[in-house]
Amino acid sequence: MSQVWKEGLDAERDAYRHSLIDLGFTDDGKILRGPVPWRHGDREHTATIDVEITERFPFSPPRVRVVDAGAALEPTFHLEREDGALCLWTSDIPVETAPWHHAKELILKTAGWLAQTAAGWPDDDDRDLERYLETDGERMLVYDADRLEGRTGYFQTTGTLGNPAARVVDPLPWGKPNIRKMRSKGPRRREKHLTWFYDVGAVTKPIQSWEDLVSVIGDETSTLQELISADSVQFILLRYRRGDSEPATLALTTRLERTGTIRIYACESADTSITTRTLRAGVSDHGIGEKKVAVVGCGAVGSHVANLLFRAGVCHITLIDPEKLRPGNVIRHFADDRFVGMSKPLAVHGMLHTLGLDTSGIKSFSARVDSPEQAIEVISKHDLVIDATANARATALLVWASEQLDRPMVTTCVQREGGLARVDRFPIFPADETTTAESHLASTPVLGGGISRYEQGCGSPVSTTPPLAAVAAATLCARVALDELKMAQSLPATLVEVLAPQPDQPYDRIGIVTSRLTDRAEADV
Amino acid sequence: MAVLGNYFDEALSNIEPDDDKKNAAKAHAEVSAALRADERLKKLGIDPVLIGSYKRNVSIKRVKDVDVFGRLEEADENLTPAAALDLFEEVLAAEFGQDRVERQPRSLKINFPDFDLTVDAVPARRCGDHWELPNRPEEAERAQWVETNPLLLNDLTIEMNDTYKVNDMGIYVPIVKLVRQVRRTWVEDHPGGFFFEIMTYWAFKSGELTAITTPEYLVQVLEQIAATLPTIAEDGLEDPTLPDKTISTKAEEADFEQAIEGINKAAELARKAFNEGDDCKSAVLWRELLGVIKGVEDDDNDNDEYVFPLPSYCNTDGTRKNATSVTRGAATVPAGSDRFA
Repeated sequence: MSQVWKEGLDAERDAYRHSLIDLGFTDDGKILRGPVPWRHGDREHTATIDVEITERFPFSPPRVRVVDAGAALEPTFHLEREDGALCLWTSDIPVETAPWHHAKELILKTAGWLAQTAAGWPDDDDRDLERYLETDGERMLVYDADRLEGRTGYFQTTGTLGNPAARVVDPLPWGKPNIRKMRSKGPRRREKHLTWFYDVGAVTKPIQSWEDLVSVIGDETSTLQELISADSVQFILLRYRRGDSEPATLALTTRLERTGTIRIYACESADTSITTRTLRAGVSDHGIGEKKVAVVGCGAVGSHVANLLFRAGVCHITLIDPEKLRPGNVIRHFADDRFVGMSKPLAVHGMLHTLGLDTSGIKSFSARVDSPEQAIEVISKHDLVIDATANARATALLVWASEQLDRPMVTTCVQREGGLARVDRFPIFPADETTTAESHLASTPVLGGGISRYEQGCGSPVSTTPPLAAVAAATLCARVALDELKMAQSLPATLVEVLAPQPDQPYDRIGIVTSRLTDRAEADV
Repeated sequence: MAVLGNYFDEALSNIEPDDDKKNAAKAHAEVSAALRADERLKKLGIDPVLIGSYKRNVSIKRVKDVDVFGRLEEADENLTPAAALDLFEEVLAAEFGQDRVERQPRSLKINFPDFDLTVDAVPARRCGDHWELPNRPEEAERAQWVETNPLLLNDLTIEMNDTYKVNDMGIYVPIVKLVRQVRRTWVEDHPGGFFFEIMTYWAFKSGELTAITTPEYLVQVLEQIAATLPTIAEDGLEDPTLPDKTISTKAEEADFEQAIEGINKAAELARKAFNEGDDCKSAVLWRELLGVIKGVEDDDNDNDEYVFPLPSYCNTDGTRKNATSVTRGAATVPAGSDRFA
C-alpha cells in the first residue's frame, strides 16, 4: 500500500484507540475491551464490550460485540449474522459528521442498543429479517403480490432448476399436496418444488433457524416438515409485520440434513406485480477507446452511464455493484426483464452484449467499495472512476481516494425526487497565476415533505425518481466523463441540471446551474 | 502515556520464526523417524519427543536449533550414557552421513544445511517421574546420567500462558519472546535466551505483575529481571522443574556484569518508552529497545529492519508528520444528502 495516503488513516485510528483507552478500555493490540454503563427501567447495569477498529474505520463505525451484557439479555434485532456485531448506525449517516468518530458517542449508542434490546425494540419497524439468516446466494424468488393477496398455502413454482429467478405462479389446484400418496410413491411432478406461503403477523424476534420458524408457524409444522423431507416444498414465503409498518416478505429455501433436521436459508425475493413494477416510474478520437473507466454503482443512473460511455467508444469499463436486479428496478434501469435476478453489473454487461459490439473489455464485479484500500485500488487502476452509488460512505471513500492520488473521478446523482440532476468532478484545480481556485457548488439544500414508498418484500424505501431524471443525470455525467477522458477539462467542477423548477434559487428555473456561473448558465454547456 | 498496543502485535509478528518453523518441523520429523526405525532403539523403547523453545512456542527469529528428547522407556541402569550416545550416533550417522552428525557431551548434533539449522538429539533414561540425560561436568572423566525434566517446562509454559491474559489472549508467551528479543539486543552472549525465559517465568510467578497491556507487562518484567539479576548472578537461577536445582549457564562473572548493565539500561528505556505521552517519540524508544530483526542487520544501518514498526504518521526522529483528519469536517459529498442514483 502506498504510505502517504495511509498516514491520516493510521493517525485517526490510533487517536480513536487512545480515546477508548482513556475511557477505561484494555487493549490487546487488536480488540479493545471495556465497560458500558446502561439502564433498563430504573435498574442500572454495566456491560463489557469488545471494540474492533477495522480497516473500514473511520468511513464505517468500529465493530462492536457484547462480551457480557451485565444482566440477563437475549440479543434479537440489529445484529450482524456472521459474528454477532451490533448494528448501531444506518449506512446513510454522512461520514464527515458521523457520531462514531467520538468514542463517547459509541459508548452511548451501545448503551442505547442494550436498553432497546432489553425493551424488545418498541417502535422499531425495520423489515430486514433476511439479514439474520445465512443466504442462499444462488437464486431469487419472484412472486406477484397482487396474486398472493388474501391467500395462503401451497403454490406451484417454475424456473426452479438452473434459473437465477424462481417464480411463484398458481396455487396448487387441489389445495394441499397428497401426503399419503407421497409416502409410498414420492411426490408427483406437479407437487414438486412448491412454495408455501404463510402470514405470520407481527414478529418480535428474528427467525434464525428452523426451530424459530416452528415457534411462529405452530400447528402447520408437522405437515410442512414432512413435505420438505419428501422434497415437495422447496420454498417458504412468509409475510410479516414490524411495528406499524406495511407488511414485508421473507423468502426461505430449505435443506434437509442427513440427520433429518431442516436448515433454512434466506433467499432474495422480489415482487413482480404491476404495482411494484411501476412504483419507481417517476468510438471516437482522443484515444478514449483505450481508457479504463470504472462505474461504481450500476443502478438506474450508473447503468445508463455505462451504456452511454460504451456507445461513445469507451471499451474498457469495470462495473461494480453488490445488488441483484429486481423487477421493480427495470423501469429505470438500462437492463431489462430478462436479467432479473442477476447481479446488476452482469445485467448491464449482458445488455451491452446484446448491442452486438465487442464486450471483452467489460468486467463485472458483484461487490461494493467500502474500505479505503478498495477505493484506492479502484481509483489507481482506472483513468476515470464514475461514482453512481448515491451512498454517503462510498462517495466519501472515492472522493478521498481521488484527492489522495490526484486522479480524476466524477460523482453523479439525482436529487429532489428527480427535480435536479447533479454531477461533481474531482479533483478540483487550485489557484494559479491566472485563475482562482475552483470550488464546487454548495450542497443542495434538502426539502422536507417527501413520502417514503416501499416495494412489497423490500425493507428499504424506494425512490420515486422518474426514469427521465436518471437518464438526464446519466447523460450529464457521461458528458463530464468524456470531457475528462479527452483531457479537455473544459467543464465546471459542478453541473446541476434543473429538470423541474424548484422553490429555491438558483434552482427555480429549468436550465443548468454551474459552479462557474451560479446565476444562470443555460448555454454554458 | 502512549499505548501503541497494536504495534506490539506487529513487532511480535516480525520476530515470529515463520519459515524456520516449517523447516524445524521437517528436520525434527526426519530425526525422530530415523531413531524410531532402528531395531535396537525399539527394544530400548525409543519414543522421541520435542522439547526446547521451539516446542514451547517461545522461539524467535531465527531458530538455529531444535531439541529432540530421545526417551528410552525400557532402558535400565545397565545402559551407560556413553553407550546410549554411541547407539544414537551410529543410527543417525547411518541415516544422515557422518559428516552431518557431530557428537557433543550430552547429545548428537545433526546438521541440516539446506535449512540452516541443527537438531540436537538427546538420549534420555527414565528415573521415576523424571528423566536423566547424559552430561559431563568439567571435572568428570566421562559422561554421567543427570536428572532433568524438560517436559514439565512445556506444561508450565502452557499453564502460565493460560493464567495471565490480556482480554482472552495469553500474554506470557508473547512476553517471553519480547524479552528474548531484548536480551538479543542488550546482552552480548551469555546468559542465553533460555536463562532469560526462566527469569521471565519467575517474574510472572512472583504474582507482582499488575499490567493490563503488552507494553506494560514488558516494562514490569524487565524491571523485575533487572532487580533480581545481580542476586541470581551470585546464587544461580532456580530451575522451576526440579526443586533445589539451578539452571546451568555458560555465563561467567564478566558476562553477568555486562548482562546486568545491559538489562538495567533496557528496563529504564522500556519505562521511558511506556511513560512517553507522544506516540511517535514513544515508538522510537520502543524501536531502540527491541532492536533489529535477526538476520537482516545492514552494515551501514540505513536499511535495518526494526522489530518495532514506526506508525506511518511518524518520522524516524520521533516527530510527527503533518497528517490531517481524513473525514471530519471535510465536505466529502459535495451534493449533500437526499441523493438517488
